[in-house]
Amino acid sequence: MTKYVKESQQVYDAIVIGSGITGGWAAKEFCQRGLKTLMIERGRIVEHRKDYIGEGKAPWELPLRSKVPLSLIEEQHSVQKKCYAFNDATKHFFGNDRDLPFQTAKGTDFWWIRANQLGGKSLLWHRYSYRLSDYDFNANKLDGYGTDWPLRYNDLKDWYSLVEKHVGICGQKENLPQLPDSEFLPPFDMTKPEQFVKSKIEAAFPDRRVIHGRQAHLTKPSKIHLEQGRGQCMARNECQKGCSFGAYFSTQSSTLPAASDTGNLSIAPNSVVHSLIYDEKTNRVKGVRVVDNDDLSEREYFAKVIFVCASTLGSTQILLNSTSAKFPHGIANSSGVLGHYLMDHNYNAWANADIEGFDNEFYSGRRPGGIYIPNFYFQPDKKRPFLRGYGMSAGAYREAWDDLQASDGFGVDFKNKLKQPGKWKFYLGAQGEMLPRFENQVKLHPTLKDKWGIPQLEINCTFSENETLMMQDAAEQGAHMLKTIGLTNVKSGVRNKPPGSGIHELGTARMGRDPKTSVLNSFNQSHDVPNLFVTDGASFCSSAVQNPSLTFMALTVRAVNYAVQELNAKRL
Amino acid sequence: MNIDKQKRKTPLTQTQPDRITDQAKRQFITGLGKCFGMGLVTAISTNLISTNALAFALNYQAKPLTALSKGKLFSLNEMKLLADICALTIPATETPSAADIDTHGFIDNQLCYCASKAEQHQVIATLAMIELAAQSHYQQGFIQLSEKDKLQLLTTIEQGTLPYSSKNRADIKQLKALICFGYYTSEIGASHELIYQKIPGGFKGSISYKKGQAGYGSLAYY
Repeated sequence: MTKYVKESQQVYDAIVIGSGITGGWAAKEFCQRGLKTLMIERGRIVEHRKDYIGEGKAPWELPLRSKVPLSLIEEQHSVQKKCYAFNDATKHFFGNDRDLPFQTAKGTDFWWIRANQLGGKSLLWHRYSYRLSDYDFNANKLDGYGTDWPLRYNDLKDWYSLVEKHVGICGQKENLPQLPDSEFLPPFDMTKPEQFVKSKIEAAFPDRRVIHGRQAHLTKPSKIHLEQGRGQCMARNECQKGCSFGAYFSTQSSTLPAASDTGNLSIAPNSVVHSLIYDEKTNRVKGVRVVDNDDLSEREYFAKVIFVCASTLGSTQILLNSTSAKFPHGIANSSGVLGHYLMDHNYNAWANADIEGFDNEFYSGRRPGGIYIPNFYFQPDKKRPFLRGYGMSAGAYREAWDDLQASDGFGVDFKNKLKQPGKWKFYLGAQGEMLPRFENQVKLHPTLKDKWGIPQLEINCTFSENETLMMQDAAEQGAHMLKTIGLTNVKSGVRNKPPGSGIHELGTARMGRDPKTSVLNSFNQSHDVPNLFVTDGASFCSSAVQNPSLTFMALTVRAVNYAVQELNAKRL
Repeated sequence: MNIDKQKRKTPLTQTQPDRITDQAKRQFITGLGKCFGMGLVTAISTNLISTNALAFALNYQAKPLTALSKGKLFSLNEMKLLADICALTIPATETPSAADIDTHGFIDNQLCYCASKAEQHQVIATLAMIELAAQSHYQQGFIQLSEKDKLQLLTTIEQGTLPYSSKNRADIKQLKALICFGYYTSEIGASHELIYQKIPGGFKGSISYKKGQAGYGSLAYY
């Protein structure tokens, strides 16, 4: 059973700030080790199943057929509206921009996509789950951008396995050096045209592979998943509305029930963390200062160890706002790098084409993800005009009415055309690594605050020439591959979406071996304050190519394990 | 920030449901009054209702063709013209036409809440352009023309060839897109004309397909 708290005098063993991908895992791991844990969430409670108010709603069951009124968007969702998953059936899981203002430095733009309720972005994520490899962990050291990751794949390998078994990751073993295999449930089917494209690309480009996408979906639940109360994925691809089958990983479906079962979990909802309470005499964080989300009353919570898992920018904002005589520029910031080296993945390059034939092929169900071309530039090459590389999501589909409605014509022929599936199409979308740069940063605005009295973040982040050249290459390579294998009507291009649009914001409280140039050590522990940990994306040294969330989970579990050992050894 | 360390008597409590209490939200609701009329605004603002219920208040009810009337945006004549274009674009076959299911009324409502003033004006201008084209070419109002002539006119405008421009083509395509969205997100369009898989049960990557069979009305994001 979960206890919900507002006022609490208890000194918990652990406080976890945040209840998303990272916070949910931290809470579960602490609870399962017998620690009395308080998970603090700034937003409201969202109960699994009960509060999925948009789930299962057909478009005609929504007053504006899934669209959101313009006036509501302008007033409350002026940034969140930019997210592909934002619609009338999901908007209640997105942050309220009216209440969550932030600034961007002059001449820059940033899309800060947020989910400020229990579960956080674990309710909204796209579920792609890939391990990082040593090519990713080595990249900073090799080309000098950013600081060397203080760990390597072998340090995380077993933790990846552990989280994957609990989460349930579908995919297929491929034995690729740049993309280690996970513990897999069966992959989603490839369509026949995808198999065709795969065989053609792999034949024409022997160093490139086209593989099943890897996602946190239960294609075939195992015992451990059924015990969590989760069921098989029904292929509705409406995950962001909430899934009562628990078929994709979220805090609600997976880590929260496991934490609750222990009896050690308390949750403080509607609790906006203002700052950490630092005791200079003992050099420890004692607890947190909270402002109530609704009535703005103030309270405090106390614990022996604090895990900050409030999302990349949320965590760094808390640290920056926790000042003291010893840490005038933010707690744990003796290095001065807190707030710096902000990154996001660049998704701006695309290519698509027609696939001739396969007229008698179709599919059933809405696969909640696609297939994937792992980074084929994982070996650095001085001949390339840019550093690092990109992966590509991909997939084939048959045009439906929403594509066909652009056809010429009126009347019965037009209606009959839209009734039937159209031609097969293939798409590619790049996901490129962004270099870590000091000047890409966040800081607290000197004057502007939010309604809870917390200084707004000012975000200053731009893609550099490296990312621009990389995306140009991705568009060219995408088109080149599709033309080479004989697809027709090949198109490609590069969009101009800014950082934040990838919704993989990373960095700003990076790990490193040297306390002079990093905030955290390889166990996500603050160099400066031993009982302070940050295990979400803020801790990343590089963005890598692959999606980060699986690595958030592995780092978190490893950090909790270490923290508990340190607690027991009385070193925290 | 001044942290008050005194003990407070606030009991353990769960979150309250989302309530519309502050001024900004009231102003938003009042803004809706411009579309609704003030009676409904009073009803909404005097009830503490959730965001979900507010959405319900916006719910649009389809009207039969016999009850065709002036809309929230469109005049009676514009509604008649739009209804006619809906029926021509997506006529009755084994399933009703777009006009039969009040796609014109849907468009009127949808534009009211989801389109900017500029977008609303553009659609009104497109209807005026079509009406003007009918007058120019046939010296008659559009709805007075024979079905053959109506279809011919729409087709010609869509070609964007003289005397029509590429802008005329783009504008009529935008109108068609609204009609198609209204039709294929309706229950009839999505689940009778097309196949609606509410709960597919899983993903099958290869099933056989025969020409003429319907595709899917169920999409992920619309």
